[in-house]
Amino acid sequence: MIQVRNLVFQYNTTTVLDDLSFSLNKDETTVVIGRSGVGKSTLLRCIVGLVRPTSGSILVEGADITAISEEELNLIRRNFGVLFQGAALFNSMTVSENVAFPLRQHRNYDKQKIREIVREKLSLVDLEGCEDMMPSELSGGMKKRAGLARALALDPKCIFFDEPLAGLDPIIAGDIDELILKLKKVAGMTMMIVTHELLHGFRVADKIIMLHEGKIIATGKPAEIVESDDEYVQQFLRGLPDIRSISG
Amino acid sequence: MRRSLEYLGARLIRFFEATGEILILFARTVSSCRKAIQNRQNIMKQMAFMGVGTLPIALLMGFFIGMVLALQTGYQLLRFNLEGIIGAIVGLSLAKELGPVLTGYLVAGRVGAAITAEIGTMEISEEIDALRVMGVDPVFYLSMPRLIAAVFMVPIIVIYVNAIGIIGGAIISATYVGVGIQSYFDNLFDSLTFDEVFRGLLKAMFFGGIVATIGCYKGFKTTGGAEGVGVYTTQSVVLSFILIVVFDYFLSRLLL
Ligand SMILES: Nc1ncnc2c1ncn2[C@@H]1O[C@H](COP(=O)(O)OP(=O)(O)O)[C@@H](O)[C@H]1O
Ligand SMILES: [Mg+2]
Repeated sequence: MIQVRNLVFQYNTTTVLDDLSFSLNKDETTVVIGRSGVGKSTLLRCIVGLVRPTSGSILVEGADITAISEEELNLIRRNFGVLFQGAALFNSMTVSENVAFPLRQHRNYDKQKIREIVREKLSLVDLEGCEDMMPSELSGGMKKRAGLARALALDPKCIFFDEPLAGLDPIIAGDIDELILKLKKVAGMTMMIVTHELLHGFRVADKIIMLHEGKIIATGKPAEIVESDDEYVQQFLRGLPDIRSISG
Repeated sequence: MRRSLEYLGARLIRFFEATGEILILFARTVSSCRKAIQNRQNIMKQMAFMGVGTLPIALLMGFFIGMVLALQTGYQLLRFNLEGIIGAIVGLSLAKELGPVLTGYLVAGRVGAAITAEIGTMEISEEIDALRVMGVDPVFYLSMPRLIAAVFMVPIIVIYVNAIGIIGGAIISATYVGVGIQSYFDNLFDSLTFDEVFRGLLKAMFFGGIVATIGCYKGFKTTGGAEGVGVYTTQSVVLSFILIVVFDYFLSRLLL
């Protein structure tokens, strides 16, 4: 579905991402794990075309999005849903207006149909009854769920999550985990989750990519990562004594 | 020596870079006006915010400027027995200079700051990124309505400022300078042609364009969290001020 080839991203003179190659496949959830500041968000922003990499290519169903115009990119992006770290809801709009926004921009549906879709997406994320609330009235977890409902509005084929659990308490974080697991069941979905939380990553991942100092130091199924004899991988994992029981 | 030259060079490069970026943003905003009809809701909203929202304070400002103009010039004119031309002086000063320029300042402070603060807040909370990944061009969605609204509304505000300033001038002229309302307006309309007023409004359009473009530019440039929003908002207002002063001179020469 999406292939990243020899991706390099430099910011000023520091190399943030150094020659990354991997692919995101259909019906697969790829989790990118790494310490804060390692460049996970930057990687995600490259893949959805928000920033252009210094070199390398990103193929989305064969088209290299690093070499096309913003207009062409916009067409490809209609298959993308992104949940940003802070949910990025439009603060001047209600929850339902937020969810309706991509529909209003890209679909010629009438009001009735839009309202139906909005209701469907909001119930998918357990936010029924919050239609008329403003983002400022929502808790962190509700914001994330509303952001997810908006990301799902156009029924995207690829969903990207940037730190979906950041800033949430463990119980709410568990709810978001459940939602992600629920989404995994949708056929044909490609998901990429970027996180520094190991436990969460191992719980939802089909494939894990571990980033350290701009490079991929380990990649594979969760069980394979646990078996890795790379020193840093093991050090990263030791922060979590019972990781084997979770991924096993 | 070498250090300071390098510093100067870096500043100069930065200056030209910024100028280029502003011009590019302006060009992209103008070109997205082709699709204005698709974004009419936001255009209306911005027009209401800029026009209706700014009008009360603009009227207050215009009234007092008209009065103080008549007061200061009237006092001088009385000394030379020239008070008969007070209508012309108040009318021309307002329509050609003070109306457009002071309204420009007012709009820079009120509207320009609001534009930068709003877009800057959207920038730091990833709302602009969200727009872009949803395939919506922020220039089309945010800049274009603000540019159109400012270019149309600022001249309209200036018309009101001119009118109420002239009325304020008339009141002072009649009560303090001793030139009756009738002769004040006779003198004013003798010298103030439609052409003069129109040139003032043309300047106002430019000032509106400056405020909207700089407001959006600084908003999109915002980094550094909530603190950054404050910094960039201040920069936006100051830069708009400077550009209004400079453009006023060159436009005045061009349109004299
Ligand atoms: N636009 C930018 N402004 C400032 N720093 C940036 C920018 N882009 C990349 N960086 C740098 O890239 C590195 C990775 O950032 P990021 O992708 O946010 O990391 P992560 O999401 O893994 O915490 C940081 O060290 C940051 O300094
Ligand atoms: Mg990040």
